[in-house]
Amino acid sequence: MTEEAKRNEHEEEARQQEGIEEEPQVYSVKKGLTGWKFGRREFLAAAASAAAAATAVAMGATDRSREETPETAEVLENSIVLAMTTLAMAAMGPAQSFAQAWRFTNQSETAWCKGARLHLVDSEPMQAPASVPVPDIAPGETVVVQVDMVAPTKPGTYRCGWRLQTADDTPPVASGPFVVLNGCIVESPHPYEDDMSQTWTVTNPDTDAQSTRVHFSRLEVESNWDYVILKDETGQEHQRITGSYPAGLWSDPVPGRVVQVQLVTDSSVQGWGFCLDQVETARLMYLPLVARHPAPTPTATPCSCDSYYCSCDKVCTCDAVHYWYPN
Amino acid sequence: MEIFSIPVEGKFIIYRPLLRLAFVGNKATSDLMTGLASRGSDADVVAPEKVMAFVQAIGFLKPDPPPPSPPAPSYHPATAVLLLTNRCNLRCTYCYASGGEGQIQNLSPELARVAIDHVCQNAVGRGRPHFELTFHGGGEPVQAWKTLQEATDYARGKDLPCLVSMVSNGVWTARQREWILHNLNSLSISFDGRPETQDCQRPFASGQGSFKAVMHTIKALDKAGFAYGIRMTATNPWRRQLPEDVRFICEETGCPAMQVEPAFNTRRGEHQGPTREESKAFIDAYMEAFEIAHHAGRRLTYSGARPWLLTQAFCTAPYGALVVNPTGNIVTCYEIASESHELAAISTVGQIVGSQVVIDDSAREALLTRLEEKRATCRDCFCYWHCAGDCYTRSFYAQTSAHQETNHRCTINREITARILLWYIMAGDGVWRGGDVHPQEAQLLRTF
Repeated sequence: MTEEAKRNEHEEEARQQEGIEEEPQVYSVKKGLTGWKFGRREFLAAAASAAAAATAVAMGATDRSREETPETAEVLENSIVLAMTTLAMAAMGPAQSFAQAWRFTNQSETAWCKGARLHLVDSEPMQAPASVPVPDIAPGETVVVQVDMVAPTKPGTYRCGWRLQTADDTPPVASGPFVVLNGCIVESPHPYEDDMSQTWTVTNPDTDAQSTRVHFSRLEVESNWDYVILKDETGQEHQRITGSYPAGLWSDPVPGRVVQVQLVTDSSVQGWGFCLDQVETARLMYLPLVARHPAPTPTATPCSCDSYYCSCDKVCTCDAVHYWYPN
Repeated sequence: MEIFSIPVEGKFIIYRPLLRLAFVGNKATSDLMTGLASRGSDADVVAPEKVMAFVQAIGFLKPDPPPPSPPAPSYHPATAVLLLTNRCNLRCTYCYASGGEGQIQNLSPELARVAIDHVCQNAVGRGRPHFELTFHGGGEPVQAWKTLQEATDYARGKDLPCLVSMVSNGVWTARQREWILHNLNSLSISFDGRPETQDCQRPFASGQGSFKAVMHTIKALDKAGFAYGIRMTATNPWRRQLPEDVRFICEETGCPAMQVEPAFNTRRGEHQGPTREESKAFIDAYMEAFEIAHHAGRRLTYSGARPWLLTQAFCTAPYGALVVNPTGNIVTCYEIASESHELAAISTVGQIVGSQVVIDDSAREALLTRLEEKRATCRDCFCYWHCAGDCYTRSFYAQTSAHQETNHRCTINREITARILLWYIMAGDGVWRGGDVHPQEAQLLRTF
């Protein structure tokens, strides 16, 4: 039984001994390093959250087949809107101290209320404070919130989750729940102009990255006439995107750490453009999908190997198993 | 209204499976919700206003939708599953069929054609847009290469389109790989993960490890963008191996979906149930692997825990597939590769005789009756609509008409299902409203 379960049992026993009837309670659920964690929630907050999450997808947020799911929450009437930009992180050494920062811009006409804090809700093994204060933000004002953390000792890619909460964990005084929109690392004009050919460059902060992919929180260009072209550092094209992706999409991997994002538009019909909001190391090198592996041609030179340690890359017609890898 | 309260670490998952609704509450909430469900309305219920507002907001009092339809009693399969041979070039340590050993049995091309004709005709009669052909194990289908090719070409020659798939160990020659990539629609590759695991659990008959050969195949599938899944078998020690094997597959392959099944047998050619300790170890290992796959954007499934699926049949094999083993018998499970299987007698429901598929209706009805009886004993379980009685080969006794009502596999199924529900609740920010079935999960509604 986990520590939390034992604690719950003791509390229940104490209540029963004191003759205190338990009030109904619902709980939030989090997966921590040591097991499941249950946090008490107000029924009303839980109901509002359930309504907002009714169209969210349960699992597999990185699965491209779920691109139809909006990653930004619906902006509700009377809500306070903060634009948040995650400032780029650099790769670091084991147990290195570092600071992660977010820029918040209040895009509404209501002041961001006092006493709000950023709470750590999920962290892989890195040291971080449980929460940090978020200053008051006047309408139109921008502040930077910084958290000092210590990286894990084991090399790898890590993540930790933070939640913005008001002082009493209730919606702000202005009545609507708050909504945080991801900012853009690079973005086109909205809408873009005709006859454009502009390139932006993003660099993966992971110095060990062999390939990089980027995420567009929104990409809408005139289908088959305007394009967002992704190139590597040498200028070689790796992907050409056209059409409308209002819920965003991940790119194919691009070799290396640098991704050049070029917007090319024709002389008429302007779309919204794009917002690139994430850069990350792509774990695998996906080559562009092909419908079928090219068929061997009748004139292909047959392999003359001795069948076990063939090192050629021709189409082999012998019947043995070859323990070689293609180039 | 069907409702369950699943205890978990001092709390309760309050679960309405048919409504696909779940959240976590304390005992008082559980009692209240159970009371509301038994009344079917909030009339005469004394509860705080905020609680009732929550109940209304999440739609807790909606009546259960109609349950999934039971499998159709008539038998007109549009899917042919051909167990081509019991030959195999591997000697997997947990093989239920002892593939590669014993007298060689091969399915003849003639029998394969009869099976294909039968399912194609059924599909046409039912107005289906296509029929299906699957090559399965009990051996390695690729070892019956000529029959595999001929059967595929014959199926492709039909007027009605055919979806052709194969379950394979992935040890192919270059020429076989070329042909497969060009002629099949999808694959399931049996692969257990890291080199040390794959080489140990799935060696060649010579004892040499098969990792290099299978990984070569998987790389080629990734390069070609071919649709495939990986079928893993996990053995003891689960906690040390399974999560790292899943991590390896996520990092080194492009496979989007993996299915893992535990093997508790210590010898080839048999199934063995888990002990309590083994059950717990597999549960913990599976959930750790599940989390790894989730963070990598992949899907890891286990057949006994499918909360996204509402069904009255654990597996479509007895109902919607014409499974033909090498001797030409029609069987109700992919594992019944020969008459030596202990459940072969109750699982054989017909035979191909000449150019005809002859079904023994009484034998089929007897088995289906037993499946229904087994499922009925699970009626009070919160996994009833997902597990639907579980795989019968894991619980039926061969010598009698009895079956195990519950066993440690039930423990595994229930525990993993409960933990997956917690994941869903977490992802739903406190309430799972299961209308968000993943497209790949929706595909599982059609297959096992």
